[in-house]
Amino acid sequence: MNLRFSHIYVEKQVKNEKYVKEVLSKFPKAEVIEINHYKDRFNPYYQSFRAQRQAQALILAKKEVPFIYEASELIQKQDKNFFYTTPMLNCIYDCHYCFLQGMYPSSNLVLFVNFEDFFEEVERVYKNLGNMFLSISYDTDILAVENLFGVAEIWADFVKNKDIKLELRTKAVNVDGFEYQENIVFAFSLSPEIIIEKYEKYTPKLDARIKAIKKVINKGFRPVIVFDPIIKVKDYKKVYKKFIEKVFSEIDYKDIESIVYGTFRMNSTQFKAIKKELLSDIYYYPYSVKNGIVEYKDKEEIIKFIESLLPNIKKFKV
Amino acid sequence: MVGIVCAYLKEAKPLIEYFGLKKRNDKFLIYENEKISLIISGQGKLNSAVATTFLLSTREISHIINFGIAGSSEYKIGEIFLVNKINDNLFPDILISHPFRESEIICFDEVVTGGNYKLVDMESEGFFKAAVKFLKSHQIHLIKVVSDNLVCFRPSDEFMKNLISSHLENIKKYINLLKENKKIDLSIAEEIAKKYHLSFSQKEQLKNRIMYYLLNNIKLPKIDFEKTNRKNDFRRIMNEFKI
Repeated sequence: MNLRFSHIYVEKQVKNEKYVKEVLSKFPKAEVIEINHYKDRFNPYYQSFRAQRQAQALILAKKEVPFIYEASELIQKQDKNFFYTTPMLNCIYDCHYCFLQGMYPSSNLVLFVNFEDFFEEVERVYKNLGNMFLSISYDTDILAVENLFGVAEIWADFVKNKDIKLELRTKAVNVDGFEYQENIVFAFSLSPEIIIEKYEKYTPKLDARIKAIKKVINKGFRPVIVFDPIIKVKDYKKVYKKFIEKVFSEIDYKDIESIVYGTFRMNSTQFKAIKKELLSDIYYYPYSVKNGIVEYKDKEEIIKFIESLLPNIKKFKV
Repeated sequence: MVGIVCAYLKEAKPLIEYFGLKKRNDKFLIYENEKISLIISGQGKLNSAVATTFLLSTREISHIINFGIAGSSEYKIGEIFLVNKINDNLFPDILISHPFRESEIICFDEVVTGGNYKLVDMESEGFFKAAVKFLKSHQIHLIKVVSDNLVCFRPSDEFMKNLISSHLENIKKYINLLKENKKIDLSIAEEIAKKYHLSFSQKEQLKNRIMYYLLNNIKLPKIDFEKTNRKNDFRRIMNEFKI
């Protein structure tokens, strides 16, 4: 039995805030525990990221500076002035290949509730640059918990009438609440069903994700489709051929803004940290390690093959 | 094996009888059976930390419990709690559905005889800080029974027995919920490495490969060829374990 959010830790400084009270009211049976600072709960070295997955706790906290970050080289930069921000740390989905497992000491979900402080900083940076591409779903999947926390909607309201493209990268399918808004970019991560089943625990099935993409297209959005990470499963060429053909037989590629694709890769420190706790064959494959990055030895061949399957639209290789 | 750390023999006696633990001759007073090892630490943080360290250094313990009495100005005498916060900054991870109420606790150096506290004791902090050197926070548990409403008193054996007896079944249920870490048997890698005199690094590569096979439910090949030299043999072995 998964006991997700059976325990909610609340920083004393935010416990009386309206938003916090609203969130807590959704979990009447949860054990609510007051804390001084979220790092007291989130940072200790003696936690097990993996074990906590069976009863992921929620931590409601106030974020301190920095509020936004420039995107690293390991993620896709579809645009100039690419930043990301972290309204949440961690994710309710449990994907075997996710770098968060090697980055954080805890798999508990931290939700920062001081939205205004984020907005103030974004506003300051954005005004200097003139425009911005901002991913808010980078260290988490915001949409996966949208029904509970409504974070994406709060951010969507904030960027209205601003030259900020707001990227919602997701595997979730709950898009019904979104009306068309020009500067919202849905980026749907898709994988073959056997990869979803084997490595993407708690995520929606491929058909459900395709249906969600169709829904946002019908609303007028031009979503991004993300094939990342591509995993070299047995007979991967057959698997990915069938998968990509299925995707573009159901979705007209002309309705897609761009495709982002890349093979599995990871910082080797994070890779080692994850391997200590997670029993997944992903961490036992014979990769090459170059400049501290773990990746497939035949990465170029895989990429070339995937590229041969993609329609002729804007693409970003990562 | 599950470890239990109690400050006093009086607290431990109901558990010792209920679980049928036998006294061992050791540097501490220890009572054991095949599944449980209970140590008497003595009063206070330092004693608790030393006993916890001793137990975890000398036994294969997968989960450890600090069991004992606590004072409270809020709860009724006889109520039992699973601790979810110690002194505002230490957090045992409670990841299983359990039969207890939960509470925070404050750990003091002296006996507390006044004030407003949910739970107070004199061991929890020392116990927890020692235990985290050996185990992860979901393997560390504190179960406390309210013995008094912040008064200084000397409980009799009879009082303790009455206080604790009604909770023994739930304590047993709780212990049964604690799982040992799963270990994957890689003895085959050791055997192959020994037979073909593989280097440490070759053995690690082989272990990775065997893990890949096991996690994909692929049948392991039989490695039983004539030994030649290490380099050739290793290449041949890895060829058998193709991905």
